[in-house]
Amino acid sequence: MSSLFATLGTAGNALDVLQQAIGVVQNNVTNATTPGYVTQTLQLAARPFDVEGNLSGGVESTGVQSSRDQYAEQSVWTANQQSGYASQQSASLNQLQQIFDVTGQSGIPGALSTLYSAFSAWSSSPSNATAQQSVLTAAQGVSVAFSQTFSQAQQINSDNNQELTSSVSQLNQYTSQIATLNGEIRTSPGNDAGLQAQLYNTLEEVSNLAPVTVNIQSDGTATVLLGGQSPLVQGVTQNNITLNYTQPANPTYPNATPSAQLLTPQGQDVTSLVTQGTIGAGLTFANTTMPALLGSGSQQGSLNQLAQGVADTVNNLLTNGQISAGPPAVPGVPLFTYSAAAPTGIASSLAVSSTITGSQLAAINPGAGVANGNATALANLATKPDTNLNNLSFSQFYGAVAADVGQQASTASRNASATSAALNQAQSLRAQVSGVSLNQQATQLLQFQESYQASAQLITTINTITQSLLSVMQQAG
Amino acid sequence: MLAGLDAYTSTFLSALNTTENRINTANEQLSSGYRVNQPSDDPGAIEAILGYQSQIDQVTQTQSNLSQATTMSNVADSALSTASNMLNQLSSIATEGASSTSSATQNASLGQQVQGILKQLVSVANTSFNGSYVFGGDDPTTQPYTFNWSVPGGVVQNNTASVTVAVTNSDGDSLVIPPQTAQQIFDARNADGSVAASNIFQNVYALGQALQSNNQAGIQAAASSITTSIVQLGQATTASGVTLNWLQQSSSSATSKLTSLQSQLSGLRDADAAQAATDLQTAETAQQAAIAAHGTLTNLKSLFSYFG
Repeated sequence: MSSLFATLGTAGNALDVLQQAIGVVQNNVTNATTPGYVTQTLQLAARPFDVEGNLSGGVESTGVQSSRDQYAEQSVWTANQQSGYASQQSASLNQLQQIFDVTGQSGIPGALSTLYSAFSAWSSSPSNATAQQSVLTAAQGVSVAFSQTFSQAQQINSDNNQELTSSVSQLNQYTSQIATLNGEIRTSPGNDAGLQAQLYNTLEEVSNLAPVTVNIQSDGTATVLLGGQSPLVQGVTQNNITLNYTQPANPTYPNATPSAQLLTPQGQDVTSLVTQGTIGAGLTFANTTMPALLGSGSQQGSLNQLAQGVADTVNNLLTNGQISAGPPAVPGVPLFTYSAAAPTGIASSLAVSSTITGSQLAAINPGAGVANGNATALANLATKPDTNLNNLSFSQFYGAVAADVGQQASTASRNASATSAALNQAQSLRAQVSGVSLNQQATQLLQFQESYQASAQLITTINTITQSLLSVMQQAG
Repeated sequence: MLAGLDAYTSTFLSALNTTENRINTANEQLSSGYRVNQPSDDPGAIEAILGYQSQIDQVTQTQSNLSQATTMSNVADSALSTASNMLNQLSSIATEGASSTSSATQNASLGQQVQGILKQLVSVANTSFNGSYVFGGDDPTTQPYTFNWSVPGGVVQNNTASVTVAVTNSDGDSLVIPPQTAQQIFDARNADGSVAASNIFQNVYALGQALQSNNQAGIQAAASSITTSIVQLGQATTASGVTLNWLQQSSSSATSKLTSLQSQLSGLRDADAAQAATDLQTAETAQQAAIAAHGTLTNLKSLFSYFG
């Protein structure tokens, strides 16, 4: 008779197990849209069953299994690093390219063109006061155009630096969260799907910021390495990364904007490890893209190069010319001034000489003895190759700089769409592998419901049988 | 199938974003008329676009220089023809004065006329346009001559500047404009600085003096000198004609160059409006379709919807 009661016990136990299974389904369904959450499955196993050996069988749970796929997570992180880099780079470059005029009618090319035209008009009537004044006004326009473009570029640079600062502090915040989560995971019993979801969600956020390698330890904690080398999180220990601005050793241009670097708490420079993620893009922009325009410790910057080229060439022609053939001959004076002490700030310091007047513009070319020879030479600068600017004319040099930024922006924009598509693909692959499928959960719920009802019915039936057995005993008694 | 709704949503959003970018691009092209609105639109074309624009600005300024030079040359040319009329008038006066019927009194009065004509010739030499002396050479702000009958030659030279200011045309050729100064036209000198035989001022002065003093031999000589001067002025007029011709050719060459540059620039920079309009239409349809499709997707039900 013991087996009849054992069967009753087994059926009762099955109800408990099925309740757990329904609980897991409930948790899955309610967390279907929770970031980082993956489908959990209660593992069911049949108990040993032997009629003769009095083993009554039944069902038991062998624990909750997570459907997390490390490979799918890893590909999302990799795609996220690339997408973070490309989209950040595309956004910055897109902003940067807006400061470059492509019509030739405004900005630096427009101002240069106006200056050439003023030189040309002045060359046809060199002693005309209005024509002379136009040259001074146009030169003023050139200096304003350079300093405006320079300050716009500086603004974009400083915006980028601010974003970089906030991205680095976000990274530190996330890694500190991971360290805290690691601590909770160590002490929590079993595989807490909620903690795991938080951990993986944070890891995904980190991968958008910087290239990290994640190793999951046997105790479930995550070790996060920056660029695969420098530890950000190890167990409950977190290493804060600091953003620092510094000049290289023995800079050619000591007054230039310093370059950005990332330091570990031990003071180790890990800048070169950060080649992906939004922080990687911020570093590339701050240390490569902007210095090419604004200058750095090791280069003058194309805007400064162009500003100096224009000023030097114009001044050189004017000072070699004559204001009056005399006798006595009056040599020309420079039109532009700039701070030669700061070669990386010439685009900003370029100005029209405060002492020059219209009548002091040297129109005479003393060599050829032509009264407007110098003025004509100045007007011809429009197309004249400049030896200091790779034998390009000013407008060509500017065009090359703008085209370079445009090319970078165009490539970055293409990369941004490509990597964003790759990220979407990786995410959707991961969702297929480990995401919560409501239909699947619904079918499971139906199955468990039926099993539950059947088991309950079983108990009722066995109970009836037991009752009838008991009544037989009573009658016999 | 509602698995991983988030991944689908982000794919949808990214596709929507791409479509919106296409709409923006088409819109920008239509509103600006340009295909290249920022460097990334066609990095390879930037240098050429800026180059063409710079050349267009240069040619436009050259046109304006040429047109100013043309106006000035026209003023100079008409001054020369006024001078030419005066010399012809002087020639008749000389003939009249040299004739045996002309009395001393009549000749003195003719001398007065000549004196007046010299004064007018000086004012022709001093012709100004827009505040500059047309025949002032490289020093257009100094009046070339002052009339003064009481000094030998009847004129005082104030401006000894030569003329070197050259106008450059869009082909890079240049020409000194106007070709001659007042001294070269009216006050011709020999290489050693002495008065040349064809010197207009000198010959007119000599005629006036001879008439006033009724010096028959002088009148005869002056009459023949005036003829030399007429030839001299004729050369100046020819030079002026050559200049005007050059200016006209340069101007038409600049215009055709400008047209060609503008069409090259337009080919490189301008948007294909029809294409942009079609693109806009297509992108808008795609956007609406995507939104509608996503709307249906969110209406999808899971099995749960059919539970009791």
